[in-house]
Amino acid sequence: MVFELEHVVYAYGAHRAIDRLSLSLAPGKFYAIIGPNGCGKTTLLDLLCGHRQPGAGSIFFAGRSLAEYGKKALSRKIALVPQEYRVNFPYTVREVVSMGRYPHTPRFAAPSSTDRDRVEAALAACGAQDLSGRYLPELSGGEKQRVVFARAIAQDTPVLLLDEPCANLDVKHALHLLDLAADRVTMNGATVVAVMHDINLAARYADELVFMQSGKIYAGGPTEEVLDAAVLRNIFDVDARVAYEPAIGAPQVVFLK
Amino acid sequence: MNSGKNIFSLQKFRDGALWPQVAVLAAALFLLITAAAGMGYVRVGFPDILKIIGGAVTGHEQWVAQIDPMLQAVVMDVRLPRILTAAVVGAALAVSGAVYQAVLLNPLADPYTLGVSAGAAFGASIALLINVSLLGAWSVPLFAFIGAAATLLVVMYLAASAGGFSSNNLILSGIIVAAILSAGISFLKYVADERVAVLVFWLMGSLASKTWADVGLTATVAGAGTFVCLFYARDLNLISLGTRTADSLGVEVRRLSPALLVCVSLMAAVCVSVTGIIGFVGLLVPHLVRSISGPDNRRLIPLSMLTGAILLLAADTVTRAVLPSEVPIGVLTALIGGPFFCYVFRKRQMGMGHGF
Repeated sequence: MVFELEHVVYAYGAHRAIDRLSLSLAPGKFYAIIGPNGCGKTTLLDLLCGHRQPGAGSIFFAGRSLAEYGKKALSRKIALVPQEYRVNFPYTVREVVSMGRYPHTPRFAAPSSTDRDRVEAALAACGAQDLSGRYLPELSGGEKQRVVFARAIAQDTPVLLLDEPCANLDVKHALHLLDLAADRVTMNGATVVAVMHDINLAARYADELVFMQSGKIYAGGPTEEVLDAAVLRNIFDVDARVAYEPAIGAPQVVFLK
Repeated sequence: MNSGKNIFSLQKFRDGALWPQVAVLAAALFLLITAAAGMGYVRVGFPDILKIIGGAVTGHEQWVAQIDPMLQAVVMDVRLPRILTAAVVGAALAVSGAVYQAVLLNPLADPYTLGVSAGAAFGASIALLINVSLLGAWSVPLFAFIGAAATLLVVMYLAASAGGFSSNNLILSGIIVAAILSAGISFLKYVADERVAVLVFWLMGSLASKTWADVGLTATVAGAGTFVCLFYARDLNLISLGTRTADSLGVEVRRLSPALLVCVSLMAAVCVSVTGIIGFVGLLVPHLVRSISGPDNRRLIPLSMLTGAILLLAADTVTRAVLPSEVPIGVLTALIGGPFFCYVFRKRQMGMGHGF
């Protein structure tokens, strides 16, 4: 297992954002985490990347307690695409993507040729070459999101955590970035854990869905097995019809009410 | 400044090697030091300056044998301590400004706008007023540091919200706290009676009558602090993009950010304790450097250090040797820096301040 969580609790003051949550995530799969606003999805990602420490319970990463890893070691294993990317300083796109190589480069060393190749490859993969000389604060939300994604690709880690990676993207770029993430799963055996709002995109790309409610796992499993009208009714309080869509080989949802 | 095409075509300063820029600035600083040492009421020729300084540094006494001992005393005991203090304080304020800006994700942060200078001044005023001498020359700096650190804590506490620090909250809190502290300083002046002159003169910020002890004190703290900041310059790049980002790219943000804030607050406090409040250097210099060489802290910190030294020394030399009567340096930097702050703030409001 890549991640193993046992009875994890995380509270903001008196409010338990994560409430005795247990979860196992296997390597080489694309997981989508789905749930209503405020159900603890982002907190769960924060716990997985070590940004927050659980108040109770334990988190294991690749067989060892997550807390045992140093930040440097972890940054070579887990990359995060956060939701927030307010940048107040005039870094260029290339400079920001290059920062994805910091964990692999000694503190005072100049970037190696591998580093430079990885950065260019990441820029190219995310369609951000044309942006590479532009200043981050000038970009639109979607452009910034692509840049931050490119940085995570340049970081070149076996685990990729995405916090609503498509929130600001048009449909073309959303499909493109999720294709990239899915490629890393199939070609490199990477593990992707993505918090997603768009259930149809999640159903299309994820091998397994994890439904969350009030800080707990409501349901989880292979997409075709777990995604049905009853789950959506119980979690989101909406009526929906779920049908297999042969054109993409995945179930898709139509919301009725 | 859009599409990365800078009208001045400064890209080479961002992408090119760092050392030529450092070398040019270091040479300019050295020239300015020697030039400033010759300027003033008693003029000393450039060759004599070089001989006096060279003789003192290398111990070749025959170099200065032909020179009037009075000139030697003017240069070595009066001017050089003041000049070097100006350069060191300028460098330290600029570095501390750059680091505050990166850690607090706020291009408008500096010791002055955060109220840290006012806190240091308040602490130092108390030490001056009650004439503390338990630690000798370190008493006033120590009180200044306590004042600075306490102020920073209060300002950060006031500005903190669930999502971290917003730019505007931080500056607003800094201004509120600084206002309270300046009232406190006024009160101290009121109760100071005959010692009020010492306090007032010191508070305006002055580099006059500095000694080699002042140079030693500021240079030690500024040197050590700058070394620490340079060591963590790359981590500062990540920190300046936000905690989650820095965290996921291998920086121990929770430990490193407070440590760096303490480090630069110490630098700012020692500067304030020696020279009084000198505002806006920490704001102005990193902005200038960033607009030319980019925001990468590995460049920003060394270049800000040299530029800060040059600017404050130039300003002090103007007020000491060029203006008909001496304007306190703190007043001069506020008169120049204040409008500059307005300009930067306005540009940010208009959403065009990214090049800066």
